[in-house]
Amino acid sequence: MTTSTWTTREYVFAAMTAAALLLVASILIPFTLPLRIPGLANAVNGLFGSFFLVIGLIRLRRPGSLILITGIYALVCLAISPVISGFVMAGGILGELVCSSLFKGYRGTLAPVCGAVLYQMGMFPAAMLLSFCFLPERYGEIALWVFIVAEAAIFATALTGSLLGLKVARELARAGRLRLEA
Amino acid sequence: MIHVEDLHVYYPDQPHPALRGMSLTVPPGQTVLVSGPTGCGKSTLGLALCGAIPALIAGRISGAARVNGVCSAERPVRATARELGFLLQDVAYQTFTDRVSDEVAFGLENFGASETAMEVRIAAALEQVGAAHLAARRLSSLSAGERQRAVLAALLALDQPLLMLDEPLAYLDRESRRRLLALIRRLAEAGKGILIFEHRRDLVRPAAATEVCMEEGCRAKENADTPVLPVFAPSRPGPERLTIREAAMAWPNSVKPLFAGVSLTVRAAESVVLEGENGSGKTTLLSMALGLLQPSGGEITTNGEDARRTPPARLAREAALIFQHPDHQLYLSRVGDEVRLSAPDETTAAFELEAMGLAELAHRHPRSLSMGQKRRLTVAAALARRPKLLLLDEPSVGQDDRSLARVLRRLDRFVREGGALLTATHDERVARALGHRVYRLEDGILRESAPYTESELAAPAAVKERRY
Amino acid sequence: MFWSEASRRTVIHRLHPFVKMAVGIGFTGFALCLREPSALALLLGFLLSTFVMARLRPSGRRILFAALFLGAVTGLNFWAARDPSHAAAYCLRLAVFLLAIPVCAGTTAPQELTRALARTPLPPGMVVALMLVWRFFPLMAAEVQQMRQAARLRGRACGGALTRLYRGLVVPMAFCVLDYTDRITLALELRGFSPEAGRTCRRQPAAGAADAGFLLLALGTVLAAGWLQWGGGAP
Repeated sequence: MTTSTWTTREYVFAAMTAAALLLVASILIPFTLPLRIPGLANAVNGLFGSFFLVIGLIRLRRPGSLILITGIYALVCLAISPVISGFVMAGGILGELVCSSLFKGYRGTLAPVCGAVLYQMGMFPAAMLLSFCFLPERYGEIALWVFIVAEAAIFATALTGSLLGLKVARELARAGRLRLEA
Repeated sequence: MIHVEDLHVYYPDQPHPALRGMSLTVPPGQTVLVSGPTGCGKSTLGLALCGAIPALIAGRISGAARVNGVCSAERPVRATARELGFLLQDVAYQTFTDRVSDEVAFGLENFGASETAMEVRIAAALEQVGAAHLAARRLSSLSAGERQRAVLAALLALDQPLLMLDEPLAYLDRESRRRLLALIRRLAEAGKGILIFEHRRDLVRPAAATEVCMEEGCRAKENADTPVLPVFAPSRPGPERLTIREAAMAWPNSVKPLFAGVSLTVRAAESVVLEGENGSGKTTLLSMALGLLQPSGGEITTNGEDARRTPPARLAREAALIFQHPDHQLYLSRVGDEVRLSAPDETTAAFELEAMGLAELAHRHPRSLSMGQKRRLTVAAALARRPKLLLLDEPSVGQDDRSLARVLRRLDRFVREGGALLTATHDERVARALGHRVYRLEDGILRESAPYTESELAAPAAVKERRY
Repeated sequence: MFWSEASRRTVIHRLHPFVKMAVGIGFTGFALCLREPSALALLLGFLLSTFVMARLRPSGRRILFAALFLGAVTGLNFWAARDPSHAAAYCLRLAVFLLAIPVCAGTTAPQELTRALARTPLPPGMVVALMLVWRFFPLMAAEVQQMRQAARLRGRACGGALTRLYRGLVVPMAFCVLDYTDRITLALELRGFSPEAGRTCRRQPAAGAADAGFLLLALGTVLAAGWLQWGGGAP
């Protein structure tokens, strides 16, 4: 990502998408944390988070779009918690690497869905890894099947959210607010 | 100098151009008023002049829109902005910081001004708009008029020789309007060329040297008469529909209550108007009437039910609240469906769509409508439910006189048929048209005020009765 | 911002944003390594003192919510492990996380943070984007509140819970994001903003003696907590 790559509108759109992600997280996460079910917060957040991400990626389209959105989101989270910031960035980097190398950006519908789902799925292992670094004996006990089930749940909700995002993107296009590719 | 010559603007997927051969000139030291109904192309002209079309908004331009001799379409908006300041209608989206002096500094920072020069220009700009005392204030604590002055100072600090103001009076009360018009006169005297887009031409005309009336994307052949909105006679009120007794409201962490001891009754076949500055508590009072907010004291009875203990959805079966910003109340993906969802039958839906001038737009997506059209759609959807009580928040914002007259006529019919209407507004034309009784909420206290007289409304421009 | 700010600027407000951020981040990271309740309590004590010095006044509702949240987490931990020390450490660690947020977020205006960030190699577009999130987040939250109010008025007449959530909240929020983008982009460009050009900065924050003092105190607290965890204070 170079300084001159992005226009004012793209920065603003990425910022507004990041604000929407933050809003969703601030509403949903407090309800899921006390339950202490591994991956629950990510799974619930994945439904709405990937919804906004897909719309954001469809609008921005260019390689680096996911990093731009998650980068701004991670910067905002840095003022709240460096741990959150860390796994947000990890998810963003994973999604971006895969989508940039496979699809060369976010044109069409598959790449945005793929990017949003990978971002959500990438955050959970990163969060687990960070926790494992600090508390190895506690997080080392979590069985592999728990991890797999959690990731499957995140995949399912993120995919649902992404498909919902695609549906709304079509409605936005019908209202003349978003240009979709044929 | 602003120079527009034979300007045509074409939006994608639109059969007709939004501007058709528009021409005008704004020389230095002169104020030009561009008036005309909603959708006549005023905003498009502003957007083309600042270069937003085609740089930020998709559209094709032919002809010339020049700012100091340079075609705006040929350079970025930010380059044109060095010579042309543009005050947008809704200043909430035009502020990026939290304090007044920082807001004024924002543009200077973008233009690379040194810190020393910045302080001098901030002080001078705030002084110019009479807002030096607001420098350290938070933007969120300002009234609508103060906030607009702060944003205007932010533009003046950039020392652009030309200014454009889009509907600058929309959210202002009478005092703020007077201040703004006086400032515009001073700026023109100081040599600035000023272009004002405003449908309330009777108010701006005294401050403008020239007026250009627009109609369907081009200059109107002759300037239309100043329209006067209808005034409706009170009918005989029936039983109480809304009773507020000694209501009080205080926000958490707030030292001063928003209001206290507010008592108000709205009866069937009666229209009551609630006036007050932005932030005075009008919207809060309307929300409390439908149980969306709980008062910190007092009693509220809506259609015979205790609003504090009844779920809003149940209260909303016989009452309707229309928000100031219509977007949140639009639910479906077609204009027609939005009204049909509320209407008991197809005839009622068709009637309401026709009454609000939306029949031809029934197949459009509600979000693709203009702000005024969206507002009329929410009114149509609310009335289609045949409520006994209608609560209406700022019905005039975004409406030109013709559209507003249409809304007011329908509301009058609603009242004459036995409906109870409570309208919150800062627009005295609405207060005059609908105010069988007028109340003013100021400094936390509600006072009944005398209905508007002709002479009050005539100032500063003469008001003539006319056809609609 | 997420936290109600004090009515006037205290010494904590005047600290360099990066110093406050470093303390917040440092304490959060260090709390993850601690298991000794007394060590965690020491970190919490420092943060509480900062909180009081900054005269931050969280609403009663927020305090109640935090207390319920911490109580629920502690209870669940105790139920799972039957170890009061473990439950107390978990609760204290969470309290450190919760209190570390307002040290920076509650005492730093978005404008100050972006001014500090302007000195970093971040592109101006990124810095302004961050400022936009802080500035428009409350506005967007207020819009969501209005959407929820509109949904409450509609009731069940407009379909099931999922339909109402989708049409009444999700779709309007998507439109809201696009609306904000259009308006803010135009407004930014009209104020001369360019993501490529450099910007000057009014009143850029500079670190001073108070910052050094605050950092030293924080470091002292960290060392003392470390001693309680791994030194002679540990059981």
